[in-house]
Amino acid sequence: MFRRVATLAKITLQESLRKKPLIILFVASLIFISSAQLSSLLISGIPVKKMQAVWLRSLIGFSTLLAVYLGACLLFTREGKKKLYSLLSLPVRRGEIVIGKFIGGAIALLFLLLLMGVVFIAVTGLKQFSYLLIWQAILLAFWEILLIFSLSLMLSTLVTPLLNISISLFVSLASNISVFLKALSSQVDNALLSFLVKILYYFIPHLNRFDITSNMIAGEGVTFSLVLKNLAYGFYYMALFLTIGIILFAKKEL
Amino acid sequence: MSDFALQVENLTKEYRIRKGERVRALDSFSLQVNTGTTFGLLGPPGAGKSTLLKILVGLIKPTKGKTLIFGKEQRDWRTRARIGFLPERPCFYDFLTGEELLLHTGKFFGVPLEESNKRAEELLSLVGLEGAKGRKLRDYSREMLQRIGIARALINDPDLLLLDEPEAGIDPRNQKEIRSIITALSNRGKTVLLTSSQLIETGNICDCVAILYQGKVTRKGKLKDLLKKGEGKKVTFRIERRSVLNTIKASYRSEETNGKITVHVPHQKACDEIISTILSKGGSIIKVEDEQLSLEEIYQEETVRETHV
Repeated sequence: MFRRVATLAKITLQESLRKKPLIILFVASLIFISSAQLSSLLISGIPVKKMQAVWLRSLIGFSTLLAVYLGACLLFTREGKKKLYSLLSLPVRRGEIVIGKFIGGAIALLFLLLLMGVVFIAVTGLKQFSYLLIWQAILLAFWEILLIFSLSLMLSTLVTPLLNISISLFVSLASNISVFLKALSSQVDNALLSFLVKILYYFIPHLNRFDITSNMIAGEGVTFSLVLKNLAYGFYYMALFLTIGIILFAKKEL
Repeated sequence: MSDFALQVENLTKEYRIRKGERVRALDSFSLQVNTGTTFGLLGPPGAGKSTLLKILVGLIKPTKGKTLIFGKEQRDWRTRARIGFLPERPCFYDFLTGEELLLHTGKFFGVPLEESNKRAEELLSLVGLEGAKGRKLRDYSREMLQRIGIARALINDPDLLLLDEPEAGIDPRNQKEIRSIITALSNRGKTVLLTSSQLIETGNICDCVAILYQGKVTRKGKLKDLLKKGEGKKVTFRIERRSVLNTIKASYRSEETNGKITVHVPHQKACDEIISTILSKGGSIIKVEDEQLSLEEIYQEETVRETHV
């Protein structure tokens, strides 16, 4: 099983890093990141520390786009169906395909995120923050991206890529503002709408748990136990999405 | 061990096309393929050939029925270790080279790298792609992809080879080469199940064929027997004397190409009479064949039969 999953992960990694839209998006994000230092100089009045933390967050936004795109087109698309014919005729379980694709895509995303991180650090210096805090932020950001990637991968067994991208981005956005969703549910007059917002709040993962920019700006460290807790929280959702994805993909008629 | 490489019993597959509307691609379909034979599943597009192959490799699930591969339930993913599959118009990771594709596929079957390398060399030579093994698949032509697809289906040295329209989209000259590869595999003792919409050409390389029409097997047996059109015969000959030729032409349906005349006679007695006439008038007989049904005639017959039912 491990051999088959590793083979699938390797080919998925190769495939992912060759996807043109992904490369275009990645280059765009690099250009954006490169302008971080310039904007810090241009926009006066905002502390450099705050500016850089916000910039770091936008880097995660780009990575989310990469994850959503990759998840939507890696496992099942109408165009990729023929490639799946060849793959599924091999002695491999469908679940192994989902896991292999997830691992391969995850490695590709990690590689791209690290590359963006290196460029970002090279451009801004990030001298205001401790290295530990920077790496904690990158680790949590990677986990957040993986969570969205697993959601998008699961949705690819159900809906079209375009709908998948729309739903994943909506969930990503709503998850990042989940604190506001809770407040909104108590303020909305319409009972049905309030109920729906509440449901959304309880069912979507709270991605703001992975955002430590406020700690960075405040100059506070993040405890290891909090990092571990948040990693476990993310892992739970990833496992949930992947399990649903495996069940759906196993039932899928090609 | 089962004598049958493949047993299909009462297989039915229905697709939902719209809400409440279903179409039956396979209708209580049964089939047995003996080990070591080449079996052709022939029929027009939409007859259900690809549906059957997709069920056999687990791409889709049947609505009803059972399939056994070497006596084991096909639903078990491990049965695919004994199968080689070529999908219709195959599509692979185009950034790999031909050789890399074979080695990559070998890993799924647990073929050791050294063995995989050896097999890849042999297979590339079998399908005539030794010269293109280092070329990326994106630079392969349609026909080269078909060839590498066949090589890929053989990397695990399968006992059962499933080929879905192996000649589709290939020009007639190369189709002939693909057929000769299939014959070579058959000679190696492989069990081959192939689908095609080309009745005569493909049927000729098969030990047994079944004609599939609207999801059902309508005829099964040796191609020669299936195509036999009653007692009719076809006599091809040459003759110089136009008067004799005109007399024959007036009595029977005939065609003339490059000085060779072919007449269609209704039975053996008429055939014997014509042969003796030609020979006595100084003509020469080139060949005598059973009258054969054309693909169109077979499908027409099936349509008529369906209408009556």
